[in-house]
Amino acid sequence: MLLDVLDFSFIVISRVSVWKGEPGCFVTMKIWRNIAVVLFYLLQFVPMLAFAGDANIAIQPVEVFPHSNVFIALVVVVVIFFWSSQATIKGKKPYIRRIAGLLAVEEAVGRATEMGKPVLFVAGIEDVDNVQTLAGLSVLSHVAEKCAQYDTPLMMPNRYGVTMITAQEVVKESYLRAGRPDAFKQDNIYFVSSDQFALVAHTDGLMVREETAANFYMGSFYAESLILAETGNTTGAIQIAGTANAHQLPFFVAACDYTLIGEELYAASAYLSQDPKQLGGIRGQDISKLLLIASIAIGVICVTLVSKFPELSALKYFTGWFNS
Amino acid sequence: MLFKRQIPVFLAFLGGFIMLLDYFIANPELAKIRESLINWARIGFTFATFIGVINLVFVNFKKVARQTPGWGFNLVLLLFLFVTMGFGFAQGPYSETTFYRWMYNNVYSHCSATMFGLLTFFIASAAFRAFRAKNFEATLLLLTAIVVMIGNVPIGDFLAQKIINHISSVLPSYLQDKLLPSYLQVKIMEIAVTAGQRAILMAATIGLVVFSIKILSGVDRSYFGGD
Repeated sequence: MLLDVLDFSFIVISRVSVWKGEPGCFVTMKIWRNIAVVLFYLLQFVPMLAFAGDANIAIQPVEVFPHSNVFIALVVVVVIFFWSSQATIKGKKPYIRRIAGLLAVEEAVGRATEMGKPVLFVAGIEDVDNVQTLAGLSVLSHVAEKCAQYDTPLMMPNRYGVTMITAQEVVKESYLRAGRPDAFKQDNIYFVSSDQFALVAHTDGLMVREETAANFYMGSFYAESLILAETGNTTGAIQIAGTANAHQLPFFVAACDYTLIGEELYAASAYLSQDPKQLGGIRGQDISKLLLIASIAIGVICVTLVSKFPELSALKYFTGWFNS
Repeated sequence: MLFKRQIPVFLAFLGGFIMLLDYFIANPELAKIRESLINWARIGFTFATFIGVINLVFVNFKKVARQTPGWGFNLVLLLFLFVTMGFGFAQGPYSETTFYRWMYNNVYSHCSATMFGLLTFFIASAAFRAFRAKNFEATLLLLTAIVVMIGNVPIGDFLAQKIINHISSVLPSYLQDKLLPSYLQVKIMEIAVTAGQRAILMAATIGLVVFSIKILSGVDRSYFGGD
């Protein structure tokens, strides 16, 4: 089995390097051939890995390879992402609609600079194992670069030690990129408490005492979202929030000046950096969403037809495929 | 540069790839590797919490030493930190009769509940600002919020039933129950709100998957300060 895995890895790596090493290959059929080869081997070897060491594969084949529908959907999204990224690198940048919250980042930092007040950044209350926190830290790097350019203090209280350490590195690199390593103050990015409301109490006190002029809330938030946003509103700060927790979005929308809704938070890093590869990824994301909408529409039609015409029970195979 | 760029990206890819493989393949060997990785992560996070506490002590101690404005609060924080830690280590967190437990039940829990209770007032002030009939969408939001709020209290149905009884002669019988606020709010929450939340959730999930692909493949390295 180990030899099979090594063989498979060699094939994948060699195909990927061929794909990446050929300029303009996306306009020929070579990239599709290579992707097809990778998928072919993947479909061969993954079940082999699943069945390895299991003598009763004839009895329980489904259980050793669960979530096959999710796997296929993931492969489709990955292929679309890489295709779109490559297409953007070779062609022109895709049109990304205006996201007011991200365009206001510079305005917010500029306002804080004019008022001589610090900028507050809260990257959510989850640890770095939450993707929203990573997305928030990606936005932090751009905000920190702006703060370095304008010489505005940036304050960031944290709930977890790992987030604090990661944020310190992110901000330090941003200050270095902006040519202001001397302005970086490590003590401004600090640990507060692992307790949710202790962090909120501290952050509220910070907003009121330091009178932060710009507040950024980017990450995963729960009950404390409204407490933070309302306190910031009472101090008169400009507030930009972003979260993928749908249950907290109404509070941010009501209390903040700009809100990034769900996927906009994940797209923020690409939008701010204007990196062609990442912008292509956003386009790939939209194509995946279109495919999802189409499959939902087809699924609704199938379920409706099956309920009205039971003799069309074959359509159940399509809808049943979506059950995990 | 190898340790600051390539190795973190490779480790992120490896860890993510193993987790993905374990999700799609029910293999006991992979499950063991996954459990090991999770245990290593837990140990790392615990050490990071320890570093966080050290950072907390240093940052606040500096402020007390320099007597920056508000240094009294920093001193109180340090005092409570050391007292709680001291009693925690000495008495342990599990016994109900210790002073540590008393502090948790009678100080910490109430402070936490107080902060949570602030939400009541903040919801009221946010609603006062948000529910204004300045255009069509805002008016629709206002009316929907009124129906949902009234539908959640018994007096809503009580008042609505009185109005329905007055106009029952002109109202079809099948419609009389369907005009009650409790019924309307259930339908609004079950149909309209659920549909909207699912749409946001689905789009956010695809965004999450694509962002994860960017992290795993090393396309986006800004989360650790990379370019």
